[in-house]
Amino acid sequence: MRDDPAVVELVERARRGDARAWSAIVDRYAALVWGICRRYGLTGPDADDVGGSVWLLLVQHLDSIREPAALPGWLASTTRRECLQMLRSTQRQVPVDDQQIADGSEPASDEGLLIEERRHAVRLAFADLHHRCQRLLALLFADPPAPYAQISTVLDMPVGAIGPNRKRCLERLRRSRALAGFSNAAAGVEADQG
Amino acid sequence: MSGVDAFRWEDDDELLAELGEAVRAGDRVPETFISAGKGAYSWRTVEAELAELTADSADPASGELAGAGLRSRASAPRSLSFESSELTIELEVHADALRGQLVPPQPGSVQVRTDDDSTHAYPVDEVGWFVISPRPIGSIRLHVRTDDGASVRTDRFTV
Repeated sequence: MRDDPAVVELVERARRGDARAWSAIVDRYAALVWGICRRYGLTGPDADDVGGSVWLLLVQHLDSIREPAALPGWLASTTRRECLQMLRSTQRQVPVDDQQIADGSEPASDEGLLIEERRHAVRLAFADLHHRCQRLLALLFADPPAPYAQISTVLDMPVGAIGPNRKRCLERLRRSRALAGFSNAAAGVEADQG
Repeated sequence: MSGVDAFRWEDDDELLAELGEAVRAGDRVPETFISAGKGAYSWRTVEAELAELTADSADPASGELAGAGLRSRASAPRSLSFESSELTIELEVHADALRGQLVPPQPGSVQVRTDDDSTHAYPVDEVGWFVISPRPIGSIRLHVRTDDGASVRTDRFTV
C-alpha cells in the first residue's frame, strides 16, 4: 500500500528537525502499530515496548527512507517483527507459521497486517471527509446505528435525504486520496456511481 | 490481483461497517502509547558523544578465550568500561542479562542496537543502574541518554 503525499512532506520536515511533524507522523500511524500489536495478543507494557522499538527504528531510519509513501508497509512489517521478537523473548508460544497465537487472539497473518493497513487508510480517508459527511457516517456506523429519525433531528436533514447522502458520502470516501490506490486495486472494481 | 481478503469496496454496507471498525479501533489506542512514540524523537535531535572502551576484563580481540575458561577469573562476569567526558558506562556481561551502571549515578535510558538493527530501550533508574534483559548476543552498540540531557554512545562491541 502507498500512503498519500502528505506523509512525504511530514517525513521531510521531521528529517529537518521539526518535532511537530514527527508528532503528526506518530498521530497518523499509532493506531496502525497498536492494531498490529493487538493482533499478536500484546497489550499494556508489552505493546508499549514494541511501540517504543518501532518508533526508535523509524527515528533512526528517517534519513534513509527513500520512499516515505511506503511508510505504512514499512511500519507494518517492522511492528510484526518486533512483536514476534517480544513473544519469543518472553517465551510465549510462537508457532513457526505464525498462524495462531497462544492466547487465542486473531491469527496475525500477512492478511491481518494488510487489514490493519487498510483500516489505517480508511481512517485517513474518513479524516479527510467533509465535516457533514463525517457526522452522518459516524451516526450510521455507531453501534447500534442511530435511527434515521434521530439523525434527521441531529443533522437537521430530511429523513428522505439520509439514504442518498449516505451513498454520496461513502462514494467520496471510496474515491478519496487515501483510498484511491486501495479500492481500485482491490478486486479490480471501479465503482462508477454518482 | 484480488483484494487482501474478500472485502468488497463497492458494497456500501460493507464499507460502512469497515469504516466503523477502523474508527473505533483508532479510538482505542491508549494515550500513553502515542505519547511514548512522540517522545522517541528526542533520540534524534541530540548529538551523541562517543564513549571509548577503556577497560575490558576479556581482551576484546580474544573475548572467546575468557568465555572458554582460560582465564583465572573465568567465573567472574566480564566487565567493560566506556568513558566519555561526561559519564562512564560500566557494564557486566551475565548469562541472563547485561547489567550496567552509569557513573556518576543518574537516571535516563539506554538503547541497545543489535547486529540485525533491532533496537530496544531500557530504563536507567535513579541510581544509574540498568538491566538489559534478555541478554543480547553478538555485536551491539549502546546509546545512553540521561534525564539531564547528556547523550553518549559506544562503538560496536561483541557480547
